[in-house]
Amino acid sequence: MALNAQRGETVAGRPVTASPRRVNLEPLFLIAPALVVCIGILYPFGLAVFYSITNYSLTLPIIKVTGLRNYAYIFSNADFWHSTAVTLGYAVSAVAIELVLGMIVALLLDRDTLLAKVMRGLIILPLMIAPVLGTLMWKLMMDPSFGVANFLLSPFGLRNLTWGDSPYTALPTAVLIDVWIYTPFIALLLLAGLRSISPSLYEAAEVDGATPWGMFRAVTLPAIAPYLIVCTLFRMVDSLRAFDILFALTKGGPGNTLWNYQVTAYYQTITFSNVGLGSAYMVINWAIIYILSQALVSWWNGAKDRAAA
Amino acid sequence: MKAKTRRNILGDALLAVLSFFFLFPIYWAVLMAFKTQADTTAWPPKFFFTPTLDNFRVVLGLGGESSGEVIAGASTSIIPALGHSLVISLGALLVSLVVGIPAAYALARYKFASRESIAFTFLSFRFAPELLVIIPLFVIFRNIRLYDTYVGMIWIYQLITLPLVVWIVRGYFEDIPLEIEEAAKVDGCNWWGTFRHVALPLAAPGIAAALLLAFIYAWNNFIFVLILGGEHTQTVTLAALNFLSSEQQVYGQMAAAVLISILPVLALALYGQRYLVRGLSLGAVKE
Amino acid sequence: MAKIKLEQLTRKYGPVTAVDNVNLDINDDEFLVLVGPSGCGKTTTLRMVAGLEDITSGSVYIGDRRVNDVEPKDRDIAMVFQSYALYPHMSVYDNMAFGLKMRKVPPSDIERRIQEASSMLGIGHLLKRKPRELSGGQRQRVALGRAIVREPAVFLMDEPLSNLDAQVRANTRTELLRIHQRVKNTVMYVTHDQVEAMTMGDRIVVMKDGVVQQVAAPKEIYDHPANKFVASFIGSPPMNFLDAELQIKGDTAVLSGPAFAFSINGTSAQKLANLPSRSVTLGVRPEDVIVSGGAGGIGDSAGMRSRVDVVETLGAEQHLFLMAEGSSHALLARVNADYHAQIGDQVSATIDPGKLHVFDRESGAAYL
Repeated sequence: MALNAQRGETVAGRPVTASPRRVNLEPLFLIAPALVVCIGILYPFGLAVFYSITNYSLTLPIIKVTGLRNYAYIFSNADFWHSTAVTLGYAVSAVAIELVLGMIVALLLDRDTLLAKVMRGLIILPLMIAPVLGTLMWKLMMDPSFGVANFLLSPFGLRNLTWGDSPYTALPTAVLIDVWIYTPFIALLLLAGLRSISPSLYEAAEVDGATPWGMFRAVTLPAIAPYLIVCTLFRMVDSLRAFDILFALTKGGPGNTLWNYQVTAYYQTITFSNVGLGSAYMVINWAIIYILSQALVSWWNGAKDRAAA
Repeated sequence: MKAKTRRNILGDALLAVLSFFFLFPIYWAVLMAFKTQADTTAWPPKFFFTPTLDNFRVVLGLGGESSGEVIAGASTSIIPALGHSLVISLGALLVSLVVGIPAAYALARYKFASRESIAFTFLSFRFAPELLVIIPLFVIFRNIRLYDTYVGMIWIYQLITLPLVVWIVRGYFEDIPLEIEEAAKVDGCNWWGTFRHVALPLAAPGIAAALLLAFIYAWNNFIFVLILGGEHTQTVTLAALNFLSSEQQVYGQMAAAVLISILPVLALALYGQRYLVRGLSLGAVKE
Repeated sequence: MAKIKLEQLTRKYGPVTAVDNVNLDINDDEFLVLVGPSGCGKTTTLRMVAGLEDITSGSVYIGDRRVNDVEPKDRDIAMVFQSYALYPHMSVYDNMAFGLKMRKVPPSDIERRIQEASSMLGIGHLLKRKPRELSGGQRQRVALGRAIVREPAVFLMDEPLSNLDAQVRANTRTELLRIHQRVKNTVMYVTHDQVEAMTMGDRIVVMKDGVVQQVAAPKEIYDHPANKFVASFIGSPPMNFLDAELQIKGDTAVLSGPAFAFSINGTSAQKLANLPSRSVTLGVRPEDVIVSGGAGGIGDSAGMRSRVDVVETLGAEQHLFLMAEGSSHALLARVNADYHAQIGDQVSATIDPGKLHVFDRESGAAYL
């Protein structure tokens, strides 16, 4: 999954190497400290996988390997499926909305008006705010009795929305905040993609008599396909492991409404001391992310080649 | 052209609505930070009011009025949290620079068998659910006394900052034409000379981008501090949340706390924006 | 100021051989040009001499020293890259001074050398500028200057003129030669342009697919190419080739094809008599094709009857494309500007037998 690897590894037929002598010593020496840090992180990684097959609990002093019992328990438990629904529901809706909205914003920002110019500089702001702090900002607006959000929406007939307080609206609220924070990410990346399209492609389409929608389909979409995939990749991966927003909004509540995989793992480990179970949830979470990201990366490599033609 | 102008006006209208959506919450938080408690809970919400600096005074630990009561300074101050955030973020950054830049150079310039697997390992840190690593560390840290320490936090923050530095800077090193480094070799440099006189200066923008982004991500982190930190390492993200949970909810103070916490990052972002796009995608997108 | 010796120099990338057993002796102060099509191994050979490329087998000697395991910086060489490879973050002055600083040359010396080189190259007014502010031609001079100030034993140049506009290229070619006269040095020069090779080299090395085809002075290569490839590569417009059958009748050798028959007597005929194969390829340069006839006349009756297909007017001369009657033979002939010929004219084409080249049809080796 080398996102940045050169296609092939040669420059004009020559390998990308530095001085041919002593080649085996230098890179190792350069990379050693990083590898140490790596190992410091891979070790707990491996530990987590190990814990997931034990009944490790912080209240019990002894670890006993219990094989796949944790996983069997998980898959047969309704809570897990609820958690899966929350995880996937959150990820899919957030990413889908952000892609569409981000595309629209990018197209709007790619123009010459004054507003577009100003917003190109300001659109990044929500993205820079820590998700926890951004959620707090929204909570300040969403109070049922004096929140400005309800005030602004009342002319549209939406009265007294319960936002984070109700099990029905909590997840959409969390998705809304996610959209608020991360759409600028997509918009900025797509904007870079839009800017890389040579104007002559549009001119050729215009001469051929294409409509604006036709130009979008024939010129814009294929050229930014790689960027779209990169966006999807990063957002999908990040939203499948969401935590900050869900925790800051209602600490996962009401009840277990917002318990996606990471929130579940948090409570299992910290509140119920069930390290084994928490680790198992995380292994499952990681597996899903891994598979999806591999698929997206190979898709991305394909789209890159097609766009370069 | 009339059609184009009409399209532009429509576009601007839509953009204005969207801009409102994206910027209003920040604006509202700013307003709230200057409101008295009564003003913040007024209905309908007030857009015009007499501003007060009390919230900032309390949050910064300078004492002030809160709901009519005079509050002594330090206990509610967010300054310690700012300090923790600064130390941990800068510390993590420093370690990642020292460790990551040479690694990025090795990954860019040298061909060795495990190159892509190592590069991918760095990347996978970026993608893994944090708790996968934090849960075991939660156990380990307690045993080796790294719980709630700067060292522990800076170490674990490498999960965030190191992949960023390695992948972004690697891309910039790869962009340097090989012939320039060969010219340096012919001119009299060994690998260190080439690295120091040619590669580093030419990759400087990339290093700046990586620094910027790594700092922002580190500063904004929450989940590590929540679980592996404690009162000696409480960063602003955790401190702000605690503001919310406290019994007496003074919304103006919360707003002030949030604003102060996001200020460093916002300033950096506005200042260094052009570096960010490429960094955000770890170099997959070059602007 | 040093000899270079390449001994059985080979470079392989896995199963692919880029440079195959190259043996070469370059004399002191010689300007040697390696020329050939893309991928022929010329640049790889140069880079092996520089130390930027691994050597699979064989040896490189600079002076009397075997330098296979010596770092580029210790080989006493200077290199001009095709892309110039100037340090973008340094001024022109610092670019030229860099190598000298690395070798701890005293600052006064550095100053002097840079002043001399920059005035010779006409870049003295550019010393404070950065590479991105310079034109292609100026950058090329800076690259040259960077090499000159090093006062190395050997100059290595990798297609230094390829990225220049045609006009600038022609001027710079002449300048390079002038500089070579002044800064007497051994130069190893790589190019794919045979005009550069012919005009600049003391000797030319023609390479193809990693193998040296011929090493000789320009005139020798032009007049006596060692094989069909060298004959076709050197010379513009390129040599004409005709397949022919060889027949020996007593003292005469007759080379014939569907539309022509050329007779050769004397020592050349004897040489041809000894050929192993009777299937050959004839080669004749466009300027050696004698055209007669045209508007009005029939021309030399012994020649090949041809029709004029295309006329290219170049001002000082014309190029005629001739199609031989009764066959698909095509010949390109160079004629004077005032020769009257139009498309469709019937002409007669003959060849001065002394200028005829004969190549083995299979191997391409030259017999005449």
